[in-house]
Amino acid sequence: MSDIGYPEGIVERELREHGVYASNTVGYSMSPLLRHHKDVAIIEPPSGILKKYDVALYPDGKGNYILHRVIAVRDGEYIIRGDNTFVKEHVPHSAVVGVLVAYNRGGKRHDCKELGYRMYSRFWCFIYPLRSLWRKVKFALARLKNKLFGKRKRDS
Amino acid sequence: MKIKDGFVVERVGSQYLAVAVGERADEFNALVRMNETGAFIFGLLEKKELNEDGIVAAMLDEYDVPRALAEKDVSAFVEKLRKAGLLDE
Repeated sequence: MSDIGYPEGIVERELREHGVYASNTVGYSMSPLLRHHKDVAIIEPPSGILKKYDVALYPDGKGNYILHRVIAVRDGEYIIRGDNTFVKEHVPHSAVVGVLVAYNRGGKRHDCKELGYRMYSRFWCFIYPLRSLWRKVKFALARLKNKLFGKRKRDS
Repeated sequence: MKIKDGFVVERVGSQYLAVAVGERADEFNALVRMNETGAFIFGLLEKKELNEDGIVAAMLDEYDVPRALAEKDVSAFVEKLRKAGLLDE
């Protein structure tokens, strides 16, 4: 009637045997789409080469699995970045074990084919330069504030 | 007995997958795979507290199965839930 299995290290097997895998999401790298421990990602094995905007699942070689978005497809590798990260990753096509097909956010199921999701993923990637600039401005302002009003060492 | 709160059940094709979310995810990091009958029982125990007899009665109302088979299936499924620590008893 059921199988109860622990996900660490067995995602590929689960996908091969059952054709689908689901997990809550850990961390903030796919925020605002997927929130830490609040939302559930539903993963299926890739049926071929992923497309730009797909969200790929791949092992990081340290026992963890990463779920980040494909922002470009090149010969033999994907360029991947989390929705809330600012670093590009180069991931071989062969390393990807799954693709996000749906997610449960706040108790509501969303399919990755939905128009709303597709609009979000394209918009979020489109405004990446603005997001990146805003992040740099925020850091610069924080540094300036610290320099002007931060604690100073008392002269002895 | 009742299912602890903090689970999301997703149907994908003929499979039902239960995943812990929120604070429950801190203590339960596993995936529960169920068929339709398992999901029916899981859903019952999410909504209200029942003993095995209550679950069997609900199953017999919903499905056309012999009582002996329902009792055996319910007992096996409840035991799996219990071992996995999903039940408040």
